[in-house]
Amino acid sequence: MNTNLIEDNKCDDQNMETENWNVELSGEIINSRQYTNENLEGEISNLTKTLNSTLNFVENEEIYWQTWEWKSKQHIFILSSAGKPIYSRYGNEDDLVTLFGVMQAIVSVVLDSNDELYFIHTSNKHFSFLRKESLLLVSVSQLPSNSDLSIMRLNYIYNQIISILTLTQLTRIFQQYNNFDLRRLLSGSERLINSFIDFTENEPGFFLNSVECLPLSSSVRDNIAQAIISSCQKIRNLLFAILLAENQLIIIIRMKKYFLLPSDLHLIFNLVSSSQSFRTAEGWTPICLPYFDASGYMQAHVSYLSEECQACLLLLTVDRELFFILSEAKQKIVEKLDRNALLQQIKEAMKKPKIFASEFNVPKLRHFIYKNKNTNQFVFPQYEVPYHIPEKQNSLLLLYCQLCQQLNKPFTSLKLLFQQLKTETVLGWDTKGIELYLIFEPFVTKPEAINAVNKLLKYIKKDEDKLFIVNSPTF
Amino acid sequence: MINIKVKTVLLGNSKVGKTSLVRRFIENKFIDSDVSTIGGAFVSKEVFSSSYGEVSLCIWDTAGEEKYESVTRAFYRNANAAIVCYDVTCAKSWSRAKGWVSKLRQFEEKCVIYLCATKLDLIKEMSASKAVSEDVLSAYISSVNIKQHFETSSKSGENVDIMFKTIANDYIQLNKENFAEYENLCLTSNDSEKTCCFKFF
Ligand SMILES: Nc1nc2c(ncn2[C@@H]2O[C@H](COP(=O)(O)OP(=O)(O)OP(=O)(O)O)[C@@H](O)[C@H]2O)c(=O)[nH]1
Ligand SMILES: [Mg+2]
Repeated sequence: MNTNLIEDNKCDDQNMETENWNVELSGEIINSRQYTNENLEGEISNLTKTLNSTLNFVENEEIYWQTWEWKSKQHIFILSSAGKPIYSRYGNEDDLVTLFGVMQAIVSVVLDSNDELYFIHTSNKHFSFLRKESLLLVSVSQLPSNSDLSIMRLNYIYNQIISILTLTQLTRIFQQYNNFDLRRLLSGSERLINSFIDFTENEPGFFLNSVECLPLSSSVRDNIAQAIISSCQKIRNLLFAILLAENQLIIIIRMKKYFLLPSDLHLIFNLVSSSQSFRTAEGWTPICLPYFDASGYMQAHVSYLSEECQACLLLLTVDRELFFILSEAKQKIVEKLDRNALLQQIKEAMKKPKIFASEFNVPKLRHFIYKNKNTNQFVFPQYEVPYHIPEKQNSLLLLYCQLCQQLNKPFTSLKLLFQQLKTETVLGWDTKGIELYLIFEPFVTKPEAINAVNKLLKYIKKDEDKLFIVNSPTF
Repeated sequence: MINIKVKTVLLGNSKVGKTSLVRRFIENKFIDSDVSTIGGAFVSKEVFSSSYGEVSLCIWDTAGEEKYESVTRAFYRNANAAIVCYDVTCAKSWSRAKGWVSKLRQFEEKCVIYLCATKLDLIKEMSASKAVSEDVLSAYISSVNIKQHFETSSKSGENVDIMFKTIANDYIQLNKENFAEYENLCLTSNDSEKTCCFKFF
């Protein structure tokens, strides 16, 4: 990926709009003049113009763009390989039929020449394309967005769709009916897709590929695990038990040999956080976890522990007949937790505010992320001044995201990164099992920063077994 | 005394307001939410105590979305009662409701069926019009053996409690003899607490 080119673009004469464009094929950037196949070049050029003007047309119509915060957000479109509208983050897909048509055309033109289209950068819009077997996902942003991140986001959205339908079903439908209107099957699930896109924009867990844990002393956590394990012992086909405190993990218990990846867990978080009804009723919900098994559904028993203790318990199985057995197990779990005052402990831990960077007394440190690479868990302190307003939080997240990507770029051995920027100084450090990102006030020297790292590491190490889930208990 | 559990299932098109009915009944709240149920949701509530014991409704709130149709069977299997819902303003949901009724008649002969028109407040406050005329409705009800037709609003709460209580009460009335017999059995076997499991799963 060539970020320079993208930045060059920004300086282009705004009036030239579609005259200057770059297309990234198979990850390589080729601009209009470099591309050898002249016919294709002309075709792509024309289509890009059409794409841009179609978008602008809708924009001028002001059907929905008023609500669109172009600056910080991406527009997302999903269409079928045949070009049928499936989803649009803003506005109504039906108004966008032409746009979808052009998108489909441009992708297939490139495909016909045995190549793959990933990005188009014009002077004021940036398009990312992700082509999957039956679907095409497109994101558009006005700011030169981070291309890798856009593709990662589109992949996440694709996973959300798989999670709703399973890959098997999705493939079968389009094999049978090339022209199928997938909205029929996704209706009612738009909310899940919307909130998952928000998740990728607002939660560091997305680009860190990790989850956050509810701080609890390790003995309490172990006891919670024991209460769950002992209540579920004789249940066959129970794969996972997951206890969540909003978006923080309390514990996950798994069947031997099975694991869940963070991106699957994120789907579970999303399911729970976007459905209030689990608070009243016990859910018995089919869910597909793409990394675990994209081909089929698991069945999730979803319920909150109690009225007072709003932690959410998920029991995942492959057996559709297990509802009442799991329901009973849940009762037992709650009784045990209650008897051992663990419900109370969870409740208190959930009430406690998150940690603040300032409580570590590290001079000039504003904020940080600590990620444990072995367990894919991270600590993200509460936002505080100057990151108390959403706008600033947004740019802080972007900054972290860039740091994270720089450190994790494939084929580089970058381990330490120190940058003095206009409004802050940042440090990223990739070390044994840990990734650290520190945000300081603008004027901080390197020795000061290193000092801060050591101090912080010492504090965190001390509390490690409280901040993170160290054990990985099994049934 | 015995614990009497009435397995009740809610069926109907997506968005007709099944989940809202349950929330109104359980929490006495109306929350305008556009989240569709995924799969099914289970909840139980004690309704009243009869001369035979506590009666509770065990309610399966099902997902009305097309993609879940294949799993819905599992939810209405062996149901004692079914509430088939339609949106009082929406003709499409009415024809789907009729579809559910015939399915139930086909697979669950013993299930007592109730029809429930939802969102009655839309008629009263927004002066929307009813999708099904009285004549069509009464002709249909008498033709397919519907126990009762309710018009409810989860928003105002109108008729919601009454509907669920009626269902529990009907169940007791219908099964009186069984309970009496069962009580005798319990007395002779000297078991004080027993769960009644007739027809329940
Ligand atoms: N005005 C009014 N709106 C209602 C009423 N009941 C439900 N709604 C609205 O109708 C929509 C759908 O309600 P739900 O209860 O989620 O519908 P559902 O039948 O459970 O839908 P699925 O879970 O998809 O099958 C929501 O926006 C509710 O706010 C009512 O009594 N009056
Ligand atoms: Mg519902």
